Amino acid sequence: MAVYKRSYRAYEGSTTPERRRFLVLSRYAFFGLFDSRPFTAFFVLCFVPFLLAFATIYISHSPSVKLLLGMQFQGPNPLAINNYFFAFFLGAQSWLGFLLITWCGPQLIAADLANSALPLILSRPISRTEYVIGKLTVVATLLTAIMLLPTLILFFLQAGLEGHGWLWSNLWMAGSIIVASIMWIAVVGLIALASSAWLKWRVAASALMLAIFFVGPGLATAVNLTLDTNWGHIFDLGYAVKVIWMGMFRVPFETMHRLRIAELSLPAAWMVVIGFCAASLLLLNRRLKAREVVRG
Amino acid sequence: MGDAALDFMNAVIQLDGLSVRFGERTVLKQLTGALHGRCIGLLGPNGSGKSTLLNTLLGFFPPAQGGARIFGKDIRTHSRELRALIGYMPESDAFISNMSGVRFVRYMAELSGLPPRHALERAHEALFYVGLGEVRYRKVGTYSLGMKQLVKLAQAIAHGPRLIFLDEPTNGLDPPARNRMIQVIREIKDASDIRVIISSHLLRDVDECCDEVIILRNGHIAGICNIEEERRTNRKFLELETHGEEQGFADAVQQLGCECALFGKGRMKVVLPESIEVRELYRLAATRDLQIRRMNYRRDSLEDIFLKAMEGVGARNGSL
Repeated sequence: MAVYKRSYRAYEGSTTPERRRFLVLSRYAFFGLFDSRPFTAFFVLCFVPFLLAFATIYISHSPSVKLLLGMQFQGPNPLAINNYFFAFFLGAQSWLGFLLITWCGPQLIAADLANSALPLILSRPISRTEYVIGKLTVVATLLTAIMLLPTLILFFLQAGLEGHGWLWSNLWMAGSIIVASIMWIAVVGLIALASSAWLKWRVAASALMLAIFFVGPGLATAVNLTLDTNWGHIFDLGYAVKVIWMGMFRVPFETMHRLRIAELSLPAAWMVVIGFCAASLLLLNRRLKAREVVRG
Repeated sequence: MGDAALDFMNAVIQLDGLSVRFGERTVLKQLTGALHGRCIGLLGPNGSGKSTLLNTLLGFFPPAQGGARIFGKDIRTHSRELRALIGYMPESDAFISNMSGVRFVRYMAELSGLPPRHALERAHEALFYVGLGEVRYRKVGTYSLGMKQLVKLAQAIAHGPRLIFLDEPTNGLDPPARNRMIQVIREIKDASDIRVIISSHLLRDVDECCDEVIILRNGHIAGICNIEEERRTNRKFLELETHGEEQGFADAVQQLGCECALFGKGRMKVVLPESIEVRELYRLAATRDLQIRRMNYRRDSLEDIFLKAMEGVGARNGSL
C-alpha cells in the first residue's frame, strides 16, 4: 500500500507480543488525558501534599530547622511521624486521586461507546477482559502515582531519617500502605469504568461517581435514623473503606469509636467493598459487548 | 481424501450446520456451504441474518449449533488468531470522534499487533489509499458521512488483513462516493491475495465487485452462486434474430459444432462451444446471404439469481 504506488499490499512485518497488547489501550488513553492542560495541571497539583509531607518529615528530624522556625513543643509532638500520619496522608491522597478519576474515568469507556468504536476494538485480537484491564491500568497508574508511590517514598524517607530499626518495627505499615492503595484502586477504578460504560454522557458518569461517595453517607444516615440501626452504613462506601483502612493502620478501637467509624464491623465493611466491586464488574460484563442483542 | 473434503479445505469460509440463537429466536438456521471466491457477496433482505453471520464469524456471537471455519481454522477455537487476520468495517458509525483520522487508524492497527512505527506508516498509507490523505489530521468527528465510511475502510485494511468483512460499505453514500468506494474495493480485491466479503442488500454493489454470492433468507441459505462461472456460461449463450433462409443457416451452425434451436420468424438460440468465436457466425451468415439483425448474450442477472433464490428455487440444495 505504498503511497507512491497507491496499491494495496499486505503487512508482512513483525507484530507486538499478544500478552502486552492491552497496553495499547492504556497508552492511547493516557495520550488523550494528558492532551488536556487542565487535567495535567490538576495531576501536578496532586503532588503538593506530598511535598508538604516530605517537608514535615524532614523538619521533624531536623532540630536545627525546628530551632530556626521556633518549633519547640511541650508535651506530645504534633509532628510525630507514625501510623496516624501515614493513614492521614494516604486518605488525603486517595480523595485527590478520586477527584482526578472522577474527572478522567468517565471518558475512558464512554468515548469508545459514544460512536460504537467498541466493535472495532473487539474485532481485533483483544478480549473483553483485556479491554477492561487496559482501561483499568490507566486508573491504576494514575492512582499509584498519586497515592502509593508518594506514601511509600515518605515511609522510606522516615525510615532512613529515623534509623535505629524503625523500618523493621514498622514494616507492617508498608504492607498496609500497599494493600490499602490496591483496594482503593480496585474500588475507584471499577466504579469509574462501570459508570463510564453505563452513562455515555461524561458529565452524568462523573455525577454518578460523586453520588456513590457523597449521597451514600446521606442515605446511610437516613436509614440509621429511621430504623434505629447502624446497618445503614452498608450504603456508604466511603465509610466502609475508612473502617478497613483504620483497621489496616492499627488505629485503636477507642479512637475509631471517638471518630464514629466503629459502627460497622470489619467483615461487614469488606463485604460492602466487595459488593460494590462485584456490582461494577457485573455492569461492565453486561455493557461491554461488541454487539447488542435483541432477544426475542 | 474425497473431492468434497478438498473443497472444504480450500474454502475461505466453511459453514457446517451453523445456527445462532438470541434467546428463543433462531437467527441463523443450519447454514451449510463452502465459499471460495476472492470477493464474496452476502446478499439478502433486511433482517435475513447477514450481519449476524459476519458477527458470528468474528466471534461476537457464539454458535448455538454447528460451527464454521475461516481458512480452515475453527471460529470457536481459533477466534483470536482469526481476528488478527480479519479487517472489519461495520455497517453503522464506528469511530472515536475526538481522534484525528491518522491517530484513529494507527490506534486500530496497533491493536491488531503492528508496532507503533509501522502502524503509523500504514495508517498514513491506508488513508491516502482510500482518498483521505488530505484530511488525515482532521478529527474523525468532523468528517462527512462518506469520509466516515472511508475511514472505516482504512482502519479495516491498515493492518494488512487476509480477509476483509465489509458490512453495507456503500450505506448512505452519494453516487460519486459510492463509485469511489466500489472502485477501492475492486482494487483491493484485484491487487493482492486478500479476500473480501461484502454484506449488502444492494444487488448492484455485489454485482460490480463479487465473483461469488451467498443469498440468505430468514436465516437460511437460499442459494450459493458462482457469479463468475455464471457470467462465463452466459457469454456462450446467444439469442439471434435473423432475416433470410434460417434453416440452412441453423444446419450450418450445427455442423460447426454449436447447439442451435429455432423458434420461428427468424429467431434462434445458439450455444457456442469454448473453441468457437462469434465471428464464425457472422462469416457463415455472410456466405449464406443471411442478415443477423440482432444478437444478444443471455444475461441471467444477479437480480434474476436473487429473485429465484427468494422464490425458493435452490433453497433445497443450497446452490443455484
